[in-house]
Amino acid sequence: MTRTLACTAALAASLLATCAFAAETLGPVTDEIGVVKITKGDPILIGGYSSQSGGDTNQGIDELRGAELAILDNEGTVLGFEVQLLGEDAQCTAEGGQTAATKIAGNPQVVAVIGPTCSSGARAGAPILWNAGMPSVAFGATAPALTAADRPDGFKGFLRVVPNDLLGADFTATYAFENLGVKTAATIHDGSPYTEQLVRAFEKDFTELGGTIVSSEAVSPTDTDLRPVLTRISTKKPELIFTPVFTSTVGFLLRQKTEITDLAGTQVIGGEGVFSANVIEAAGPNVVGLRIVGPSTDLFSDRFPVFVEAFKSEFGEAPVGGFSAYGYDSMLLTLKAIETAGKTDDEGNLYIGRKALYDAMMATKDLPALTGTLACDEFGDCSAATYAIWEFVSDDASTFAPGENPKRVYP
Amino acid sequence: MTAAAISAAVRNRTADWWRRSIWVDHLMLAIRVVVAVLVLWGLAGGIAAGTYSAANFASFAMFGLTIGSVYALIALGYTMVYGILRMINFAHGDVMMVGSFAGLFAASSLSGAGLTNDAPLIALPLVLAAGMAVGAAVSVAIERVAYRPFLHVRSLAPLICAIGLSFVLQYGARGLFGTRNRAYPGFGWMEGTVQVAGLTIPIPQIVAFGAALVVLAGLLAIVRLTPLGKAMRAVSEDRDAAALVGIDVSRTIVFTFAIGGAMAGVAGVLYALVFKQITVFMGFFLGIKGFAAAILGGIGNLGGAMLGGLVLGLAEALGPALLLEGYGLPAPYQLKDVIGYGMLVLILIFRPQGLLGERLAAKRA
Repeated sequence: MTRTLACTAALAASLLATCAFAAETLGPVTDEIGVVKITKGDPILIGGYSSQSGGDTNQGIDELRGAELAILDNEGTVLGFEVQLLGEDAQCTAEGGQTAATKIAGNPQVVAVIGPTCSSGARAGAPILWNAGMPSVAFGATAPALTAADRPDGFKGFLRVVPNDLLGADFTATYAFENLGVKTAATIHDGSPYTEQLVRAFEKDFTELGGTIVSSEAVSPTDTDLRPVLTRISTKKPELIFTPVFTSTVGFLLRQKTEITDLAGTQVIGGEGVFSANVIEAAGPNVVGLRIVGPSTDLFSDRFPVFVEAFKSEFGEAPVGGFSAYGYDSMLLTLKAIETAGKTDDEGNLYIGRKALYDAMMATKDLPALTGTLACDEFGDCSAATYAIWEFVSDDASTFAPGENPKRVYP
Repeated sequence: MTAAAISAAVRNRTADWWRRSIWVDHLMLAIRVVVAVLVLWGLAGGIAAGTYSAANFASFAMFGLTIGSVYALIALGYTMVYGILRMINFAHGDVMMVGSFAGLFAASSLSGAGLTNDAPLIALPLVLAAGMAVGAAVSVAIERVAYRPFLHVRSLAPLICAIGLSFVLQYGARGLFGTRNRAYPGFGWMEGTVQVAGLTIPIPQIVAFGAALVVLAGLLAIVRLTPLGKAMRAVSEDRDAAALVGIDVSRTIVFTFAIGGAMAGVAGVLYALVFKQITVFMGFFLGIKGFAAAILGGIGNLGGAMLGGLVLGLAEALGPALLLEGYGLPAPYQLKDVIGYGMLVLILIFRPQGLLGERLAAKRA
């Protein structure tokens, strides 16, 4: 019995030891967290996880395609080593993020990870990756808590090139209050970290500007009947509904809103999650007049049109909105950091210290990228925030083209 | 009888119950009391809060009946198969999804000819027919693959097979049609609303509810009045005895699946008529709801499935407004499903046979 206990204790101790970071020396590099050795001729592996299935597939696929283009722009190599992107499906759920991150973290040769698309996936996935010593650079997860000052230790290795929602919320609240002149607003989220934290931030900013939040509601992503919620909101007669929920919910909301007479004059502002042609089919004729807050590709760097052409010739179709540009930038930041942190020995093998790589990523300053100039703050927010308000002007899904439908109305 | 005698009798009864009851009975009683208090408290609070007008409640109820009739149509498929095979067909929700997609393609081609907008009364029956035909065909195929081989074997294999087929249908449809949400085209005047007694009611809800009633009545007529229905009732009573008196059991089972699948196809089209958007994954949730409705009403009982569907729909539509509002919960609509499924759990605790079900004799159970 005692022996079994002792064995168990020893086993537990050894498991703990492997989990905790221990300084490691390999070749010319000593690193607190660990060192990845890439033998000459082998590729540098970079993990990627994004939504490859589910309602946000367009976004997830574009993000990884953007990242592929960033590798191609670097001639497919960094420091003379071929770069390989290992894409995984994180869906847009916590479970998906966890599965994908666990799979990537299981490969000790992976030096860094880009992704995921959704905050729920990042919430579950980023700590798993960081516990394996892999920093991750998100291209879609925008929830403020992920880079908040009081975030748990597991998120220390989480960076993002997509703007924090706090910036988007502030931008939207200012637009609604000052440009649209609305004084009362209602919000709807769907219980996901992204939508909930975004509406909370919007509510705070809108109230600080002097507006009133008359109703703060929630639905679940699988809800199809939003009439009761809309009826409840209509009793407060808001001038605006801010709801950064996803495509199907926005479709139901816009279609059913017309059945509630008291909401006839109420405007709707959605989030960037519906920046695609799918929302036009989902909402039908009611999509006309829908405004969304989203990244503005016009305000991206002047290299963006060149990128769009390269994207078209590589993948045979135009990118959806600006998603692919964030994918590009996440890879660009990672490659630049590998350039700084990688060391070669006499035989031509490459050694990358995990802590050194992380430090190099966090030290990113004035990096000219596709979405603007990237610079990381101490919490891992590296984005060049460029927002705009877009308005859908036609219910024909084939007319979808950022700039024409939806049209940029502000700034 | 004097007052003293009455109170003595009551005391006797209570003492008698107390003597014979065991701790489980006490626990059940306690749960009943707690639930009743919670419900009454919520109701009182909800009505006192006065967030909604009577017209709001009426429109919620109307909507509850509409979605409830869709649940009822799905529940019928579960309950018919259960009545005959004592097995749940877990692929049934996905049969509905496939029927809905068949309706979508029919509606899209009719819309290309301008028929859906100009003559919705001609287009809708055609779309329904497409949904019914494909639903029935898929359902019969499921019977062939997952149930027929195990007809004379006592095992859970058909159940597991059906779950597998449910994935096959879901991901097959995903491969064929993609994951994005698809929308039905507009149905002309059927998109509008009518004013009834001061209420604004969307026409699709009325059409869906009416169509569901017609289909349900047709189904009841088949089961009660035709030789086929008689055979179905006989097989569900005792399969071996039915075979002995010359009923073709396999054929009857195939027809049962076909009718259940057709009902699911109708449900899929009516659902799309009300909600417009469909996805390849919608079968799962709606299937669970239909299954819950079948259990609620008493599985194996046709009338029970209809009642269960309507009750579930009404509970979901009215529950958050009536009950949860009273507790001052923020965003009560997130908890809509809690009400529906909570009710299901309570029914299973207090009336395991369902609202209209009878206690199964040992032989049938």
